[in-house]
Amino acid sequence: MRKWVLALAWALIIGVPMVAAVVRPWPAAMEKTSSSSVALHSVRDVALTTSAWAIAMAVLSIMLALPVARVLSASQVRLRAVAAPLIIMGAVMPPWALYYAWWSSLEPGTWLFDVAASGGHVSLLRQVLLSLALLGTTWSIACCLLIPASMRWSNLRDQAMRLDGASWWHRQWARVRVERSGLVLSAIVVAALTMSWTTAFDLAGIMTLANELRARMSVGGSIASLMWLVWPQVVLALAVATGLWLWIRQAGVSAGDMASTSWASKLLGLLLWMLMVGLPSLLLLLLAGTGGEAAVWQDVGIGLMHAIMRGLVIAALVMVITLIASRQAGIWIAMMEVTWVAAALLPAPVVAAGIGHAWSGSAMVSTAGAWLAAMAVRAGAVGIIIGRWRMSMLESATDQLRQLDGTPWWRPGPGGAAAAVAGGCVAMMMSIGDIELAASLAPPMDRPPLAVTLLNAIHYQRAETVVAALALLPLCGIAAAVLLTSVGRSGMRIARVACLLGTACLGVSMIGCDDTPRSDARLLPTDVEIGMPGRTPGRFDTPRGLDVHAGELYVVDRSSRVQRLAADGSVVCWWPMPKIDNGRPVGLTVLGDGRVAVADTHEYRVLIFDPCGTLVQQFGRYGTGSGEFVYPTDIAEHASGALYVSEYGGHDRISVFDPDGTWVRSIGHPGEVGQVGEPAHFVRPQSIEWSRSNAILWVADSGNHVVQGVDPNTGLTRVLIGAGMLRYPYGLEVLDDDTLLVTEYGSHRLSRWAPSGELLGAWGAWGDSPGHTRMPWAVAWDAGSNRVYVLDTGNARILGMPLGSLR
Amino acid sequence: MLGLSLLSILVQGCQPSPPQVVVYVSTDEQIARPILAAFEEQTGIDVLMVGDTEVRKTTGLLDRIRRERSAPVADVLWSSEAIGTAALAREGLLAPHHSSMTHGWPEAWRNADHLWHAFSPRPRVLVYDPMVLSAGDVPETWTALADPKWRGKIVLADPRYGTTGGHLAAMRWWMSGTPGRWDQWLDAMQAQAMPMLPGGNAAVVDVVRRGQAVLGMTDADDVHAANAAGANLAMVIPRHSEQVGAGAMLMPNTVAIVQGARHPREAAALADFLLGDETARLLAVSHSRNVPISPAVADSFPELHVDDPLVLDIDQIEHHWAPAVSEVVTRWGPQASSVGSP
Repeated sequence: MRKWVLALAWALIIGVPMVAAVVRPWPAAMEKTSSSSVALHSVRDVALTTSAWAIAMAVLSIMLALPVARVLSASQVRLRAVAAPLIIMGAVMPPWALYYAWWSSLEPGTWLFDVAASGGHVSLLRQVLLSLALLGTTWSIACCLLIPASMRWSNLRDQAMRLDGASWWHRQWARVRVERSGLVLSAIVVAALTMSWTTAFDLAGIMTLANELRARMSVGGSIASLMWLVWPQVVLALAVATGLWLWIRQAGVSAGDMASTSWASKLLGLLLWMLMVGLPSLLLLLLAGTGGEAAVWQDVGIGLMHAIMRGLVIAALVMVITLIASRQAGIWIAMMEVTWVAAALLPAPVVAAGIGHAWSGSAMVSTAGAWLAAMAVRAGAVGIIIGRWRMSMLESATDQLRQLDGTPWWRPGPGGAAAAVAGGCVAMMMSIGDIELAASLAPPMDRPPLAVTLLNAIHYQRAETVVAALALLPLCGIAAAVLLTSVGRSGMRIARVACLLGTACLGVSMIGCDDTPRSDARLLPTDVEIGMPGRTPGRFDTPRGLDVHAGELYVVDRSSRVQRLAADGSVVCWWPMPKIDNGRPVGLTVLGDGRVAVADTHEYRVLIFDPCGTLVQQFGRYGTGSGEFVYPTDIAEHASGALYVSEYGGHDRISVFDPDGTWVRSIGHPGEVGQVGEPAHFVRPQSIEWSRSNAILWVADSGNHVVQGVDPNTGLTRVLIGAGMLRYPYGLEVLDDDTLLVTEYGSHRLSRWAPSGELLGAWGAWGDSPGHTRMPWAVAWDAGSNRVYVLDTGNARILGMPLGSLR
Repeated sequence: MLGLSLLSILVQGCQPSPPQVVVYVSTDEQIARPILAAFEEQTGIDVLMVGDTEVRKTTGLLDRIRRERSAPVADVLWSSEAIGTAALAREGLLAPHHSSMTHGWPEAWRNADHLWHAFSPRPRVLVYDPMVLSAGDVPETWTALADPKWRGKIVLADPRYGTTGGHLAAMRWWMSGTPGRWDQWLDAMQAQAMPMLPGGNAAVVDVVRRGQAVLGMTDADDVHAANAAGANLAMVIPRHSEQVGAGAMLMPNTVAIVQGARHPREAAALADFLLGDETARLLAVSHSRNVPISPAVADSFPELHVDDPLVLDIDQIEHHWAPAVSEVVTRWGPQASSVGSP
């Protein structure tokens, strides 16, 4: 039975593509170009480069992994408590993502990059970082292969040699001879993997054999015509797979499963993982901006959810394969397993081309079948290796007894459930990070696969997307690793649940049912974009305050600059805030006479400048008393000249000042918004604006998610707008017809409201593409040109549009 | 369990599906998605997309269309370049579509048999760091790159992918009017020892930004993207010569309907939408800063206007692509260094 199950899976995933590659004619158009005519690099050159990298990575991986493997083996840790989590955490971050993390952390201006640049060693720096990135995965694989080999070394033998007077070198040589099978195998596996990778080398600008093969295929060379380039890799893959399979079978360490554990040895592996994977991810997180990650994570999270669903499908298949491989193998099963592992060692372009060609014209391609089959090539090999490894740890009699008892193959024996879950976890993490296969075989969907989105974000330098994914992926890996180490007697239940989940997810992912949430808002009818990220004049660093006066724009941002811009974005003048010890301002209003009032939020005061930055007035200081502020946010000028200042920070209210800055009174109290007719309560009143008649003071009460119309004389709430419909209203503007424009930090949109509370329209959605916005803090209307300006804070720009388009 | 799973692979659709169209898109996903979302909202037609990575750009999607010729999956191809689309047209893989949106557009922006339409191009540029090079020192023509003073200082993307190959094909086509001119330029450029990067145009910009090259041949949108991410790079739009009609290279987007598309009416609607003014405006205000062709939209973006661009015959240029790429990689390859190699 298990032979037929494996045969069916093998046929779909390995067998049919193999046969089709030879038998089925390739499209004639793809043969039009002679592969030799588009050979950018000679085969000899790229083969030498590829071999050099493969050998270097093998050596470095062993150098890094051998000490760890020896420590772990000496401490007699349970293998499953260490090995599989190591592999999972190593596989969780694809090498190309690690390279990006390192490379982005060393921008021009950083010490290390500048040192390298001054010496003309930037290329060398690239190679070092690429090596680190590749090691992030390969060291853990090498470690797992070395642990069983290291366990064969007996401390008694070491002591005996010491007593015999053997030197340290002599003892080390003796130990290496004992470990040699593991060393050779680790080197070969790491080398084969290195040769099959493409994307990390792309990013580093290094042409390898796999990249060159892909390039030649892209200009019309088929697998058949490029066979002369491919067959050495096929032979190598078969040789490595055969050697690995044979070695795994007899690698069992019966004495290794001791009960005692060593936290120090586990910590060693974890520390090494942190250095290779955690550190570059953390560096990138620290260097990236902090605005808006929640919204980015929401978008990336959806992609990750889809990827996990597909990963569960792969995991379910791999768990089955692991169970199959956990029993004695006859010649047919052995051949299928060896060819499967060999296929996994081929470059991804070859795998993608083979599977795509085999299943073209079938439903496998138009659904996710072909894509999942391609991912199953590598993932299935992992299951085979883990299953065979676990099999090697059992006493041979154990399996014979189980067969005699008639125990079904799908009922795992000792450690079988853990092995199956381990295989599933590793396979799932590998599938999440796959990109080459996704780019070639993913079916039409609402959004591209996460890895494709991630790689394109790297190329187009959208750091927030990359950072979000780099934060989520390790969390997934750690969760999988924790799950694995906690598998014990409950392993079988977990295995069953995972299989069921995988089957359920299979239907969803295959069929491609649309479950992507879609925004109902229309796009912003933007016709002009002003500014971009930066700290030079005309650029913005997280701008948070905006106003318009006489056709000119006034902006204050997190670099503590106030900029005065013409309508075309050219800088009229700019000035810095005089003091930024405690923080930056968040609000700005141009008064009727052209003076610029800035809510100097974290300096607890209001500053008033002339139109080009000469300080002419200031008032306020820290406190909760009359005329004092905690965090002032905005200023609104009454027709009488009185200045109303909103604040938050536990004493949320609006204070009234004479034009000379003398405190008059305060309105409102901190707290949850009440009903109409009750005294106004605020939680972070972010913006305030007067109605046209000056009878109502409109307050963007962001923490209460509502806009309040407050009677300035009585302090009572007269109107509530947007209750239950707004999320963190930050920006506020009143038009000449008394309708309100509101920007929502939480919903990333602009909305228009009647003073009665009726919603008249909403525009925008999260993003940085045309018509989208991220965390808009403010909105302003220029009566002269009848244009509206939205402060698109998350994208560091101002979006302009005619008011007439907001209907 | 495995059998049930495999059976479900062959089941199409879990519920009666609304009208839909499948589009293969090589434009940046972040730019394409809102445009496609606007189309969905206005028409009620669901859009399923297949993208590609920046590394392989359009070539992966073109390969898919060829592979699927007997049972097309894609309805529409939205490519960020034109040469590959023209190749598909020549291979009989595209269906004609007469669009009212392109009325009054220059003839050069569509195939003679209406098998594809070009729209919203962006210029090929030379990117440089203004802290390293002053604007006055940057070559004003592509042919001036052969000056020996630029030896070892220029970088470009692997021409076997994307717009670099298309640009070189256009240059070969344009120079073919003067016998021997293309060969002379190839020989002159061979001495420049230019790395040809596997990471695409974005990699070219990164290399210039990091000071590993002084000039980079790339697309304008890649420079805009880098500056939006905090870089401080500048660019010039070189001409091909001082002759009229030999100005800047504008690399257009193209849209085409795949032969045998399963949703032809929806495909036609999407193609018209992509050729319409709303898409042109959205692309003009995007980071890509594409140049609108429609006069009504172009008037609103005078800063994007490119004077006297190189007059293209894309179908003819497509014939030059394979020999251009072949000659470039053959002649420049041996002398080209790899940025990442010792």
